Amino acid sequence: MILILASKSLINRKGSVLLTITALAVSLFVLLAVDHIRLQTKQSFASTLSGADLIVGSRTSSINLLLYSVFRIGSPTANLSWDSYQYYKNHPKVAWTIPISLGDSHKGFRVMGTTQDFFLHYQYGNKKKVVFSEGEKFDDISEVVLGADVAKQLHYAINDPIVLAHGIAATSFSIHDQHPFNIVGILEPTGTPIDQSLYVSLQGIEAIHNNTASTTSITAFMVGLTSRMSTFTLQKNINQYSAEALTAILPGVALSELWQIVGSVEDILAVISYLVLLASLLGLSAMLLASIRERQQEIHLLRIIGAPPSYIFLIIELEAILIALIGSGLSLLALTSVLIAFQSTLTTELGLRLSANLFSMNNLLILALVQIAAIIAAAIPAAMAYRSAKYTIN
Amino acid sequence: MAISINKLRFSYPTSPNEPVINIPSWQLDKGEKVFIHGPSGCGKTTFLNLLSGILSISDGSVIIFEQPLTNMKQSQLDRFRAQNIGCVFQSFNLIPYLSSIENIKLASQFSSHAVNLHDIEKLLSNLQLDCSLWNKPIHNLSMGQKQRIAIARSLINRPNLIIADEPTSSLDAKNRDTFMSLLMEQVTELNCALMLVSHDMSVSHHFSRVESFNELNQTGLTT
Repeated sequence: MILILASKSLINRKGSVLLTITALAVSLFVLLAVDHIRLQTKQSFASTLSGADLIVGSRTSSINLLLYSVFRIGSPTANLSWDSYQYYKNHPKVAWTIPISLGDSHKGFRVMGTTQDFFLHYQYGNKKKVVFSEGEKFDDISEVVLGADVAKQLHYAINDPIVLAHGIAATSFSIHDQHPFNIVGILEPTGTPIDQSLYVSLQGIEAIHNNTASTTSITAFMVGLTSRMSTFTLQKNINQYSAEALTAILPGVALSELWQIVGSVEDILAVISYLVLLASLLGLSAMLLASIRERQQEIHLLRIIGAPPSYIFLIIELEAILIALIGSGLSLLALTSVLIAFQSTLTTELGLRLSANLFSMNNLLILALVQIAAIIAAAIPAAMAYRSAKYTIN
Repeated sequence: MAISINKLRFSYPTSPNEPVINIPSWQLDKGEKVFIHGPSGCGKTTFLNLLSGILSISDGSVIIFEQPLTNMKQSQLDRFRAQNIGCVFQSFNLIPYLSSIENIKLASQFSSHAVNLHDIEKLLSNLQLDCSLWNKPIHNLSMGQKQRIAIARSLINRPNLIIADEPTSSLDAKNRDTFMSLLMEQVTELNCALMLVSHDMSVSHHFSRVESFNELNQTGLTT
């Protein structure tokens, strides 16, 4: 009965209650969104590359090199020469390399020029290798392998012909239509930027740009070492390479540097979202407080039929809990809808793969804390109602 | 004895030297029905609030069904009120956003009497309230219908005493007569004591005992 009384009382004051629920839902939406994006981005970035000991590119910052070579975010400053690549490919401490040549795209998806070593050595997540869902590796200058999302979103199948475009814009004025490619393989989904790329041979990249099959430069390369003991030695060696200004980075270290920079922004966003939540909880408290003044007769009536003051206290607390529960539900619904609606855009435009599944321990903890905070916020009006109930009588 | 009053005095804390109530002695038998009349502002409502434990007694004693109210704690008074006393007022008898059934059910929450939906429906039928109105929010009902639900609410816990404070003031003559007939009928059926206070003498013919509050209350106030 107390639940019916509390819920019908809220419905009876639907104007102010709806505004309070909306304020709480919006603040929770911001809080959950910030937290979800932070966790998912970290998870997504951390699982994109595993197994590579070094990434080498032309002289640039470590974060820039990491972003464009692994996450396809931003643009390389310059290429490195094929000779330099060959020098380190054949270095005795190097077990394998994956060359990367970037700069072209197909309908907004980035094209990566590489060798068959990519399919042999590239690892993501928990040391997982890329697997073909259909077809096989490229073996010819005019063959292309598609990431899972590219094939799915553009509805491509094996043997379909495609042409690449110069640059990375979704709409390009420089189409390499003199050199069409034939789809020979489609990769299994990985949940990483691999799914958002097309893979062609280095010779294919050279052919569409220079009409030659011999490679002269690449954007970057990944390195797997024979022994991890030599990581720092080789990194130092590459950074001091006299023939060409190169940068070698440890992917894990560069990622930590990135999180350090992003971390302070994250903290500011978290503080802002908690302040917004606090403001909405104060709004809840103010709304309930105002309602107590309007409900003096109701409180008096409840007392006359024998309701103890604690019953009145519980009604106010229950109203706050109901508002917090509805606000939480609405915020989860809204955030899930937004994530589903913008999932594809976030992936293609920003390389962020955000799951629409919000049910995590972290989010449950936030929602539980919000319920507790709502109970605390309602304590003042509930105590006032208790006092009013106690002294209405006597 | 339903009510036994001895040397009852009450003054509000703001005017401790001006007693509002001063009743040397007064009794009401079990099952007896009394009409107390008096002008507005003479202290009738204060008197009823003292009898139902809503106000604390300053001096003297009030014993209701052999239970002295002066010895009871707040929580005991709450339980006693829910268990033994049914109240009907002039207005704001009911919670406006609840239905008739919910209002009556709410009153049964605080009593130990077992009340089920059938009991509530039977009571509403006895009070001639159309079943189409039972689940409608109170604010959609007429004043006459609301007062009938107020009777049902006051009777649901099968109390020993009904206290009615100006229950007919906001009703027209036709609704007043219907209300009084139904109230007397139900009170007789339940064999509970009834104490109705009003300034409206037109309802006095329903009672065998009629008293003037100004004669009962010896404060010297005549307003």
